[in-house]
Amino acid sequence: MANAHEELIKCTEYLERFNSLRSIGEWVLTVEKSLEELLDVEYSGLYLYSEERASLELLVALGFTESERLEAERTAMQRHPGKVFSTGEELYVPDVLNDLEYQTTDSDRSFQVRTRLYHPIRVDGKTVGVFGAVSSKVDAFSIMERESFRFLVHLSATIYLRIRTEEANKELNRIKSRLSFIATHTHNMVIMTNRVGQIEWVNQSFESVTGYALHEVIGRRPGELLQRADADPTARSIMNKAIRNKEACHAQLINYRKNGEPYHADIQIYPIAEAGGEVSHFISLQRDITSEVLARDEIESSRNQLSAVISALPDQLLHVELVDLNDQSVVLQPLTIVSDRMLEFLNSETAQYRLYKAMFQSVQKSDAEPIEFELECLSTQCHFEARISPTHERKGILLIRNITTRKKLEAERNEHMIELEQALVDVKSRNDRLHNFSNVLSHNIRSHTSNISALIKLICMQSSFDDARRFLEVLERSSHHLDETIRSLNKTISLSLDPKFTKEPVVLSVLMKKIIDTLVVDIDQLNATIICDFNPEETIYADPVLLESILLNLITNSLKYHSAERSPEVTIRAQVMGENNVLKVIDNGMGIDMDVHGADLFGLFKTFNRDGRGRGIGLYLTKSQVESMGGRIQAESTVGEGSVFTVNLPKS
Amino acid sequence: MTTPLIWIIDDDPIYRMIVCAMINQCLSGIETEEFETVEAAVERLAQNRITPNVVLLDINIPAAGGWFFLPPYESSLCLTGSTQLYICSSSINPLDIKRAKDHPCVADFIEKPLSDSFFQAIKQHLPKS
Repeated sequence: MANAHEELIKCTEYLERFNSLRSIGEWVLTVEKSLEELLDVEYSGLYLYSEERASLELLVALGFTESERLEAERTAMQRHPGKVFSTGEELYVPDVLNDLEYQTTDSDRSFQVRTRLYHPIRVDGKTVGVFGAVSSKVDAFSIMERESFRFLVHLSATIYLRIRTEEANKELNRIKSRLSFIATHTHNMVIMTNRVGQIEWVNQSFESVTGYALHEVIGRRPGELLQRADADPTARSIMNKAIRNKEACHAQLINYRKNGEPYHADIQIYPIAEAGGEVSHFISLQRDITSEVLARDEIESSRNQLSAVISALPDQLLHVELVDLNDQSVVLQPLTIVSDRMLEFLNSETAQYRLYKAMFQSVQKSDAEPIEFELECLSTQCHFEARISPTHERKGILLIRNITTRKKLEAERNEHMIELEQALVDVKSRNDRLHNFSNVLSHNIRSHTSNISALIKLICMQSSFDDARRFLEVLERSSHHLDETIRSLNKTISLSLDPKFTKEPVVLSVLMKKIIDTLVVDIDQLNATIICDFNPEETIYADPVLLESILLNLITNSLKYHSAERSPEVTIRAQVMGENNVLKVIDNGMGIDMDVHGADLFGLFKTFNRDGRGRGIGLYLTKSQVESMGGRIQAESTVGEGSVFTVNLPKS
Repeated sequence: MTTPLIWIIDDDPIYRMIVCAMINQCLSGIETEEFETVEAAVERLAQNRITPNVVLLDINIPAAGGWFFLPPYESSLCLTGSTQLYICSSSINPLDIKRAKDHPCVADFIEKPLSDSFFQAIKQHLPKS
């Protein structure tokens, strides 16, 4: 048995020996060597617990054959090493034969085990393995030897731990330097913080994006450096919680550069664990996604605008697609609510053909004609207009608008246009008449006034009153003509200015009696016959005063322009034709050459005979009167035979 | 030497009388011939015997207006070049005036009443009797 001094020297030796170790391999050899020197035993060894295998591995095995070593390792957990590993307490059995509890095992050994020694290897209060030795001698180890043994165990465990840590750190540093290479050369920002979130390192991208230099940010927290009060609280709490729980996370929020300019950041944070599984660092990867966010916002706003436009449009919208150029049909996909009826119609063969044609035109030259169609909606006939606006090569949007109101307005407008056109024609003819009237007026009055002034001049030239008297008589006649002209013009003007009339049933026979009474002197003188060729009950719807004037004028004309060869005969005939009363005044007078005068017959101041009886007003007035009641007047005549004047008057 | 002759074509007897009186007053040794209608004047033209030196033609004549005289005149008297035709009217319708002035056979458009200065002017065209 070695004394205490020797033991101390041995321990110092162990210390030096173990202190210089740098790898687990060296350590295994040194433990082997030390155990061999220390203990004179048949078997000794070192078990280390492997978490992967959940069993003890026999790393150092002295005195074992290969098969014994494998067997010992396989059964380690069920035997004494396993017990020591789980209890963490040293097991020393000085005499196995006298201790029933430890007799049963190791029966395969080729010798009788008398002493057992197992000692737990503890690192940081945790059992990581077991040292063991057995001997065929009783109580094989002295107290000193056991102490040395324990020292060796502790020392080797400490050194083991140190080597493991060093190796782990070396590995970590390798990873770190690889990571750092990637981090330096990536476009993403990389921030490495310690376990409490203070920055230890940032890459170049971080410097160029944020404007902060590495030395400015070391020791700061990324949040206080980059974020402001407006940072999304949800994103912040996700990140804070992840750091507290040492978990990975992903968030997006607004960060600020050193110059105060904001940018949208996409942030991923990963915890980095040390060899022992403890989280020692966080790595944060950040991306400036401002342009992505802006693009996303842009898309979003475009989409909102589009949907606003769609809902504001009075049209119903459908996606349209030309399916097959030969098929001559299109596929419809409603964008807005389209009634079943409408869809059913649009899918009908005729509509499909028209849509196809419009679609085809749109694609070709983008100015296709709108398609108009009618559909019965809510039991009224509605008009629709469909236009196709191409979006892609053979796709487009079909806009369907209800144009019933427009159609109705158009129809009304057309009606009004017709009325207006009629009114325009009326105004034009009135204006022409007025123009003609003013020309005629000036001519007729001036022909008299010029005569008068010439006569006065002549009178002045005469030397005797007797000579002058001749011209004075003519002057008197001239002024009388002028007066007459002005009177008849007054009559015309008053009719033109006063178009008011009433329309009432006039019994023709009663009216005719009155007219014949007025003309009785002329009729007698001329020995004329007036024939009333109509039903005595015959009723004309007209203004009684106007109708009397019309008939009186026509009959007077018939009498006035009678043929010199025969007694005048005037027939008044009345019939109903459709919605009109038709009155005819037929005479056997001298007649009018219609080829020469036809166009001017009803003109103002148009006279057709040279006997001075006509003033050119009668027929003009008659025509005006007929027309003011909405009627028409026509004349037929043969020279030498007679004339027929036909008056059409609408009943209503 | 024949006596200078003036034709007066107008339906207004008063006017014709006035013109004759004025011609007598202003000019001497002039013969006048009056026509109430265009037809009468055209008939006279067709006789083709007498050539007036001046024709005073009214255009507002009932039945065939004064304009109807112009085509037969154009193909007869006008060709001789010895007759001056004046259109006389109390019309101040610019269309009538233009139509008269544009016509190759019309010497001038004269607005009624005819003045003595007009007669003095036509005196120049009349041969001295």
